[in-house]
Amino acid sequence: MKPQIALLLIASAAAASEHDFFEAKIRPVLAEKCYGCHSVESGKAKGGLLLDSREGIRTGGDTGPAVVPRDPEKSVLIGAIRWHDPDTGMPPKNKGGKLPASVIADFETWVRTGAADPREGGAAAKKYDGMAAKGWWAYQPISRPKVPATKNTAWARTDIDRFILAKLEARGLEPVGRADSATLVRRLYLDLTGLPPGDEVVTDGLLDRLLDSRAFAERWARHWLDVARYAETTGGDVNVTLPEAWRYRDYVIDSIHADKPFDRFIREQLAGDLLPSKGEAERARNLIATGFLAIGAKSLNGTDPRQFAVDLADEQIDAVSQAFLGVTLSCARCHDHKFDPISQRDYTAVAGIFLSTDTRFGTAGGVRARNASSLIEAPDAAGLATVPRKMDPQTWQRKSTQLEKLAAQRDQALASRRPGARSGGGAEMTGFDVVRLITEAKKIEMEIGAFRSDGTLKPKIMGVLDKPLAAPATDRRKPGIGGPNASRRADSGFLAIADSPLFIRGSIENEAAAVTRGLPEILGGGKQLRIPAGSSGRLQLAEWIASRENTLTARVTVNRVWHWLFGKGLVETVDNFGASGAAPTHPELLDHLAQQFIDDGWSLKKLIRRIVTSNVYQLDTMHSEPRHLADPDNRLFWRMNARRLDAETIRDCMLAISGQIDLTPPRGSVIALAGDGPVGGERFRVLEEEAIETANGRHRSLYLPVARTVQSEALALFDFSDPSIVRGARETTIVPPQALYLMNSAFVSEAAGAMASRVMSRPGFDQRFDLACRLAFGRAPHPDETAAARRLGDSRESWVTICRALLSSADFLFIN
Amino acid sequence: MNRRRFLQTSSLGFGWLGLSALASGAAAKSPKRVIFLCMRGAPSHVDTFDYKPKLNADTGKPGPRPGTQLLGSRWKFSQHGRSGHWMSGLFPHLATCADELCFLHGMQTDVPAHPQAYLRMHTGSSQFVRPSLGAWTQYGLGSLNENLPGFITLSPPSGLGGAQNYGSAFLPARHQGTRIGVEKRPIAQAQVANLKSAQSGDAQRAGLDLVRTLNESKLRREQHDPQVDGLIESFELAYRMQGEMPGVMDLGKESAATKKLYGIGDAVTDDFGRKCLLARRMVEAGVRFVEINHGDWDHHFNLGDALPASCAAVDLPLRGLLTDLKSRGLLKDTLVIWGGEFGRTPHAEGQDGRDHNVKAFTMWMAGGGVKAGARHGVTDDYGYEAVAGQVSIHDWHATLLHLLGLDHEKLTYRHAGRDFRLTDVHGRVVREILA
Repeated sequence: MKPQIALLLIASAAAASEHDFFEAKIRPVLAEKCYGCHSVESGKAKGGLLLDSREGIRTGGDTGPAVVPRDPEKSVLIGAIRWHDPDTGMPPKNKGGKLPASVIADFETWVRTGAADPREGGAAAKKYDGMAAKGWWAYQPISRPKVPATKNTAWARTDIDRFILAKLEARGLEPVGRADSATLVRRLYLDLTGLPPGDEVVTDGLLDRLLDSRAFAERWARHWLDVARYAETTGGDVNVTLPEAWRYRDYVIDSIHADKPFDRFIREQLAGDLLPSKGEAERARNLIATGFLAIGAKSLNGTDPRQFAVDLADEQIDAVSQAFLGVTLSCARCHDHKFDPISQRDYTAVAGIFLSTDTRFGTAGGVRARNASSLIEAPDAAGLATVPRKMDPQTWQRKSTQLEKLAAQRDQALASRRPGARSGGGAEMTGFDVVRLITEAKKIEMEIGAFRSDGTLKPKIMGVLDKPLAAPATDRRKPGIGGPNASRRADSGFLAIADSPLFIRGSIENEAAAVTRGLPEILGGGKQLRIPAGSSGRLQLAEWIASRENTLTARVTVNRVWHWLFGKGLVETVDNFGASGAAPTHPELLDHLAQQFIDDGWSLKKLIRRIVTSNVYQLDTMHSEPRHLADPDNRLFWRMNARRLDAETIRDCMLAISGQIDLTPPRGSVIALAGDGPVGGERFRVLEEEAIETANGRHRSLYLPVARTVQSEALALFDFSDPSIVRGARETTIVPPQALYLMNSAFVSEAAGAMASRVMSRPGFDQRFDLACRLAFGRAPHPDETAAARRLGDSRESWVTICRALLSSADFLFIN
Repeated sequence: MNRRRFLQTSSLGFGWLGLSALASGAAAKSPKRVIFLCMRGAPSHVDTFDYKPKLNADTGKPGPRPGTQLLGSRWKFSQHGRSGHWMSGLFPHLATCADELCFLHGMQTDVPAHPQAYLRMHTGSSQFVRPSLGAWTQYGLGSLNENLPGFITLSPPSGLGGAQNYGSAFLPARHQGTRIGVEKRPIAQAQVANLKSAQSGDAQRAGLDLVRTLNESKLRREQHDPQVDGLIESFELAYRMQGEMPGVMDLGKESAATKKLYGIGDAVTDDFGRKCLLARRMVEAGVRFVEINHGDWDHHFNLGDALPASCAAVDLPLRGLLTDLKSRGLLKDTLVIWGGEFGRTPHAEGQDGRDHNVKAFTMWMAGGGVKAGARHGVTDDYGYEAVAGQVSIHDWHATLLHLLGLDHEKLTYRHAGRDFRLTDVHGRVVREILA
């Protein structure tokens, strides 16, 4: 009995003084050694952990509760300060390293005796701030605002005008006057088709003709291709071609030409493979649409297939969420979103959908491009066109034989290098030699894989499919990617439809429990997807995105269209509708347009027609001092914004004005013709980077090859969109290299020369200059312009200089 | 309304970053410009600047990585200058500048593959498209000479991430590096795009005058348009650049002695020597950041012949650059940095080669703000892994920005809803090497 009583006494003495123990031994150490990185006051919560409150220390961070009362072994904090591992030991080396043994013992005692902690309130660990943004306007249902009444009842022509005018009147402003008809015609041509009006324009039925033209579809397809981060190479560490990407480009053009309902357009791009189709041709089109998910930027050289798989899914999540929803879902990959109500669990729910998706992006494979996939082969019945690329049957046969030999050598070399293998075969080879064998075999495999044995090109599609329900048996003989020095993982581990584990801090080495596939909770408005067994959930995700209940999709879409017509969105951050983005200047108008867009059957052409027939769109770009002082950024749209032409329009207009343009759509692209392989780089390249930089020709600019990391000079200089990033709004820079291009490039010289020939077909200086101005500016010259040009003379050389000057001047380079 | 007034009342102004908000505390003595000597392919540290006598003694014994054999360096090391830096016989010329150099022996990176490591060294990320070091520098410090680009890269490789290595990513496009030349083509033939006019000077000037007249006429009609102002300005700048850039590129103005100093004219050193001299001329003329790429240091085999050849190509020009900068008083405010994307293994690959090593490599710095003659970081007995004074790429970036007077945690750019940094959420300034 006695010893027991003694123990009890000691214990109760400890209990009586446990708060003192905390104050004397624990709190000072926490404050001195830990609060620097783990407290509200420091503003840091490394590892998601706050140690400055009882709640914080008990809840813990990413790796679980820091302290479990009475259980030191389960307390992450104790493990960390014991400092078994210099990488995870706390405090870290640069903060003084391991604590004295006596202090560690104090902490163990403290936890063992119940971790008494008198600290309360104030410093409570916040789960995340993003949830505070639940009430952010973009997450509320789209309203049906009443069209406002305006004091001036004569000005407005459409409801759009009434919304704009009401805001202006509230600020005591009124819009400037209407632009003159020459300016309007040029504006309409450039905005709708990206081509100049020409020297004579018939205005009867002009809008219908423009909307129905293929030029319209091409121009607006290019806008969408910016959003879709369209490119024909992977970018990243090895820039490998995507020779079938052009099919997606043409799909976008055709869809816009047909005015395909935008909700259908979205469903096809996200889940075309899962939609019913009538016949092989439609099936092929739907598959091509899913190219949206396959054309993103990729770093193919990674040695870890699991990392590659989660990075691929992340890229898709990033593109889908920004392109359709205007939110940055992938910010929640490693932690809960800092600004928006999106948790890491929400991210993981969506990630499962894309990790259950088989993305067929193709690419060459081999060393430095370790992560390749096959493409989807289209049946003949689909009637898909191919680019004119052939291999003669003898070459095909020869390469096929060569491949068999190389593959045998490779397999033998790999077998002989396995631990425990008998020596012989490839044992004398260095790892480098083996990698070379693998690479060489891979290269030939891909070369002949593109063709049938008769040497004709196989029609193939980039796109996605659902993964199977169960993982297929792995082929053990298959060489793991990356050769003998590569990671030990033979595959990504994501081989079948499944939920994704939550990766703590985004690290694939640190898995927590899986999260059921579905929607982000708040964005989904409390709804969840009903995903049928055996399906990834992609179709259900697509249906939710393209639904009228979605608070984001229609708003984001109409806002981009507004931006493309005014140079500024009603929400200025066109790709970010989240709480870190801008609020709408005209929330009611935005909702009005979004509702009408949905009611119009998601018709892009109807939406554009509504906007361009408004008085707001037809305002002058004229400066006005009082209005400018009241609203310097023209946020209220008191005038039209003058906008610099985008890169494609500059080039297309130069080709058109000089009479050189070829408006027939070409089949494929320079990259499609080059086939599989790297652009630039040291080995196996199928295209020099110069071939992209200097690519030219007479076709419209959207048919120029679009590579990542290297771009056509003419486009790159004038702020062509970086095709690795979803980009609804391009930048506009005005920098000297553009001026050098206009002054000295061969392309502009040629255009100026051809334009000079065209205007010189007219007799006399005045008529010539009149034509030149009509072609370049869409209007007759002003007298001071004619006078200035006349000083240069009337010789051919003078005309080349004059034409170049017109193509370099603001009236050509801007839409007024 | 005049332009100044407009900039005051509109958010469209071309604001430079307020330095006060970013100052790292080193601003007063900060170097103004950077020359980055980028050694593509990963030079072997154990054969150049990281002396490992025990590696030589243990040649043939098993290496730290299972199944490997150590390979001693066949080049003799000796100590140089008052600093006592150990350098191998492959750098006899650079060795005379030993006391200017500050070695980082504890460099580490994460992925042992060239493309990833090369991108990471340039942008801090091998996974995502991020602005390059030069673009961040330009963005943070602005331009020194409006007649020239602020960031120039000489002969970059077309692979390994290509233009991403000198790209501006989401930063404004004017911070993008201007590329001159490409790897493997002689720099002597390289030029800036569209710099030469096909027209006679008079015809071009007449044309530009007409452009100006047309633009001014438009301005008069519309009273005010800052974009047209900007356009007029860009043509004037382009015209001046057309005038100034060829002069900067023209080495003909340099004396025979200077050319000799850089090894120009000798087939071995000519190309790298030209790049170094161009770099000096560019920073002298006010270019903020010049990068020189030189490869190939990827010596998997044939180390015995290939490494000396690579070293010989750069050794004399490096001395030339450092001594020339110093004698012109430029070294004190120019930061010179040298290194590759990772190091090489102390064990052999084949008979005569070394494999990739991300656990240890050496870089060096010289010039303004750097503790000359210092060394930081230690590798194990074989040079396989850094055991003290480890410096990650993020740390290295943080240190470079700090040297330039920029706080790497405050140099941010808002994009896609959040603030981005060169160092992401990492980076520690290596204070030990600050002068």
